Amino acid sequence: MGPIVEMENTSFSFRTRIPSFGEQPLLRDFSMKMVSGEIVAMVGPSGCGKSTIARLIAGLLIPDSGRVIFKGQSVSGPSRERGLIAQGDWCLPWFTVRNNVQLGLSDPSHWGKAKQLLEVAGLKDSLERYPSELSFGGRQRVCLVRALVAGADVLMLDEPLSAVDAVRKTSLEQTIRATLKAAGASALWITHDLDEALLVSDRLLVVGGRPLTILHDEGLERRPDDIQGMIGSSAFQMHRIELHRRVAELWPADRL
Amino acid sequence: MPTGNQNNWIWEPLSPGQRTRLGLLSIVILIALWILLTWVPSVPPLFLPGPARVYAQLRQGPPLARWIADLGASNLRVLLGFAIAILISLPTGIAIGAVPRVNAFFSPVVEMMRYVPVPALLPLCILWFGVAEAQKVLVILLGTVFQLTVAIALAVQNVPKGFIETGLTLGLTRWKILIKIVFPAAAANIYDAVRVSFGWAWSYLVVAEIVGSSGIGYSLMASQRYLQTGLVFGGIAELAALGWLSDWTFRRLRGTFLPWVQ
Repeated sequence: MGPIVEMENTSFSFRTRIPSFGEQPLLRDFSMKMVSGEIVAMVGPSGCGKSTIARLIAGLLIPDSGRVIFKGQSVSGPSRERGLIAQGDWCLPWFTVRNNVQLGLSDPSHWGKAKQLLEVAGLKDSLERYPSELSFGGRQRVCLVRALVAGADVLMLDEPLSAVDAVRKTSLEQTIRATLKAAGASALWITHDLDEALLVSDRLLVVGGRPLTILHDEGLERRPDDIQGMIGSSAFQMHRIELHRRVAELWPADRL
Repeated sequence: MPTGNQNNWIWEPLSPGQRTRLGLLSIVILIALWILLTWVPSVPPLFLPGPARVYAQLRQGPPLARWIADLGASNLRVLLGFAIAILISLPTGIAIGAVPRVNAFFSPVVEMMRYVPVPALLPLCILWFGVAEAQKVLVILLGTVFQLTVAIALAVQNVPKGFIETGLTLGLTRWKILIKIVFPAAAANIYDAVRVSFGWAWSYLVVAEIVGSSGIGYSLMASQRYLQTGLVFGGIAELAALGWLSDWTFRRLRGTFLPWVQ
């Protein structure tokens, strides 16, 4: 069975009115594959093109050349199967949590499964609340379940927890991961936090440079039920330190 | 907000009592200035009648029944004209804001008409509809429909793209995006545009009632013709009160229509 998402030699650059002489495109002949059911973390410096990749896969942008392939078909526009949790706060404030989540629900019989996801995401008791009554982390979980309920097979999460404080981040990371796994969805999790990437993903992609290239691609061993144990293990910590060192070498210092 | 800090007194919020008292103070000062001015010998009573003269003119002027009839007639015209304006501008404005083709098609006409002063259209309205009710409703309609359409289109265009992309990545149809996302997102700005335009509707009412036989505007002009300045002030005060009342209603109802807005 082939990859669920594939970017095949895609090139892309934003057309700006003021051409910069000698400026490289954002993406040139960029290729990438995602396997069904895996959570891929993409870690890279700000402005390198990670969000652009997410939007290309979601179909909100069309590559200048090359193509994006989803389940064997070329992508030509957005669809519910390729969901996007964009950077920012995109819960609809005029709808309750329930109405937000039901927005993309096409088949009422799926509401039962939706309730299960809501439970895993910790939103079971918040259905009649308005997004303004929830924390930012809560609203992100609503967006997550909303996209999954609409039928996303692959979900792009663009820096979902960048604005969340360090204390709550870890538990939210695990909640989101658990919700994705419960739905059986694949995910591209974009973050600039290497530690977050290590804790949530099945596979780690480190990207950088211009045009964007994959600098490091590594499958991660996981012990899903014992996060604290994993964090505490010396093997994990050594691996983590090694990765931080490697990434520091791979990324030029604050050039972009 | 920090309180008691002398440096922040500009931004310190007021208690409702403070607000009311300051507002009333300005009105009291205004009335006091009026009375003082009427005592200045070089100010003729025709230009600025004092309270006694105003009271006398009110007593000898049109009976209460006439005031009420005028009020009713004017209100009816404004509400009718404005209601028609909303019925036209809401779908048109949304379409112009949401669909580039519709925008390109309607832009020239709407933009031009927006700048034509309504008094310039008055002769045409009288020519077409005489001085009956239809003429007055038409004037109010023409005065408000173009600016309302543009304001609504702008409100739709200012909906953050992220909301629309949310709809797209959830697989919603364009129609559903329009109804469930675009309209609620633009609702606050649309509401405020309606509120502002309603104020203008009252202005155009007076313009429309210059010709005719009933209404606050007509009575105002009649009073001027008979040099009853006191009654002119009465009419102006009446219009001011009505305007303030409708604006107050809009402000109170904002929370009812838009419960999610802070």
